[in-house]
Amino acid sequence: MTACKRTAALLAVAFAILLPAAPALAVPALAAPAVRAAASAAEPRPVVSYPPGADRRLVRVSTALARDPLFVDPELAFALGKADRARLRAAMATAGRELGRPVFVVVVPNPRESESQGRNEALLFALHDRLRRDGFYLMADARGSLEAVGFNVPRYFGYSELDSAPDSDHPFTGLADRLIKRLDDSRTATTAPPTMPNLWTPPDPFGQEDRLSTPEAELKSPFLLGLFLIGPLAAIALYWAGRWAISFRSIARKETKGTRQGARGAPAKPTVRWLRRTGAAELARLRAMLPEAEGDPGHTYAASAFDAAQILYDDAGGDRERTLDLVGAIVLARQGQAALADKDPTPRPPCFVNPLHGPSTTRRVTKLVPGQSPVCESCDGKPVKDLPAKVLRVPGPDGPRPHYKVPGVWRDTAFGAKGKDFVPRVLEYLGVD
Amino acid sequence: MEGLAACLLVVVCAAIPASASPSARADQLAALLRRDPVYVTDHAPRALPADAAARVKRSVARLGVRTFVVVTPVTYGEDQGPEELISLLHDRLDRDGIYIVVSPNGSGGEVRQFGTGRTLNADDAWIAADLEMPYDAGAVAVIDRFVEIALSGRARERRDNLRPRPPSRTRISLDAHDRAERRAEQREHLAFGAGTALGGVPLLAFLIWRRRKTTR
Ligand SMILES: [Zn+2]
Repeated sequence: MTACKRTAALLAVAFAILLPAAPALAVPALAAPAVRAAASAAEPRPVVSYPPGADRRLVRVSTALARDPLFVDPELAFALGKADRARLRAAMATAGRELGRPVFVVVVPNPRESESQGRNEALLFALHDRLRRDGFYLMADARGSLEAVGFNVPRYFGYSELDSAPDSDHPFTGLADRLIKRLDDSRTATTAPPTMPNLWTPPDPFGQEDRLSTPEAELKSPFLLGLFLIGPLAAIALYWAGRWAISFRSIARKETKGTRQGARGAPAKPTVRWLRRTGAAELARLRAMLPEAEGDPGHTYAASAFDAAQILYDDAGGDRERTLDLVGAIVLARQGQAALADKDPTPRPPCFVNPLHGPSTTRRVTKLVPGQSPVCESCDGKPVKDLPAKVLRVPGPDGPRPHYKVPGVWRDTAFGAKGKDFVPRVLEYLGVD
Repeated sequence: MEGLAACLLVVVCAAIPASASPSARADQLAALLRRDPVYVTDHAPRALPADAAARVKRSVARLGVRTFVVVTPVTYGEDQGPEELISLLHDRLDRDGIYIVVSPNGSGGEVRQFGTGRTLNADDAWIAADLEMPYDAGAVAVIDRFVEIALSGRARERRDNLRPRPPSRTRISLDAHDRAERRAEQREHLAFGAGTALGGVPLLAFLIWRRRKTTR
């Protein structure tokens, strides 16, 4: 019970430490993008440093735009015919008038290998940067994709369905019409206060196009999770699993070997109640074994041991004064069982330290009484100083005393360890012939 | 130098009739090639260094055959690939020699030799160079490899026994990223294991110790 309470208390402490830590762990992860966004808001223009000569086309295009707001790159000269260009210029003039801002239209290839890394929005920002003129910038690339950016243009711009070419196999079919429609849509878009847009994804620096963010190991939270939650839970689970396994094993052993080996669980100061219950059980077990064992070598011994044990048990009743008689009944009943099970007419005497431990397996010096005494396996493995605590004690006039200090038949025979006529002497003690 | 190039482009551009047709594109490129047999686009500085044109010229000069080179990103969309463009350019220039049309990153190019003269197995040499180089090697490196294979006189052999293609920069970077990710994962597992052991073992020891004390 206390184990449960303490465990619960430990877990509570663990949670108390872990819970305030959790938001602290989460905050940096959430804060990082916010910080980046704030930084790019303060610095709207792309910060890309070009190696020498890499901005040649930016110079070329922006120089041309300063002279003529419609720029069609020579590489895409075939994309717009003469008539198309005239119509486009007219639409540009109208849009410029109504927007109150200059309008620039650029038709230029923008491959992935361009200074803008193929990002059309980034290219328009770069051109705006060179030209240093606010206005409405519209471009088409070699795939026929459109892109528009308004720098301080008093309109609200949203996504346009016109931006990708309807037929990717013929990207320039109807290009002029799409450009003109895009200009007209922008002109008639919802008015809004003029603002400077932000370039959210500037191109990578040169030579770092393939650089991927290095995956960082996040060590803190798995460590804390293991430390405060999984570790303690696993320890508790393991602890209880261990206890369960141990108790299961000892139950299993008791079941297979019966009570013949009773060192564990044999009390040093048994109550009369315990002795009566155990004695009844042992007697019942022996009684059940007797009829089938007719003619066995151990049968004679077992039968007389049963008689003696039964009489001891019946005569002793619940009398505290006759505690040792009850112990003797248990010892005799067990010896009877052993005689039958082992087909042995002379079963071994019980452990001298505590006869309730079960049969002895060897003899050793116990320092409890002079010389060697029979002891069970468990007592054989113990140092001498540990033995007194294991001695069977029974109630006496001055409190509990060791069983071998009580005068009588049990001390004289040492429960069968002394002499070879244990059962007859017990029967004699009981007044039975 | 740059200003001069820009001026030339503007002049050439102004000279082209602004009609929407692929042949107009060939006309314009032919005009450029008449002035300079090597045309390198300025639209792809990330694949082509500033001195790309000079390096290509040095490479093809070793062939000893007149060579026209067009490095351009424009895929024509309308049924016109590098092969058709080479035919159109040859029609307009009407000159024998080797014609190369290739994209800035060096992939998907085409080569053709017109007329007699020194016989180089240009087709096989180009295929071998194309297949031996990483996808993002760049036109300058691919042309250089093409020249080397063509001059070796064993273009056919090279084509049949290709050298292993080195991984692209993207591939290398992805692999490195994967490795780093695995390392990070291992370290996270290790941290979890260490935390679990530190949190679990003392508690288990404490529970066992307490149990022993109370049952003895
Ligand atoms: Zn014992």
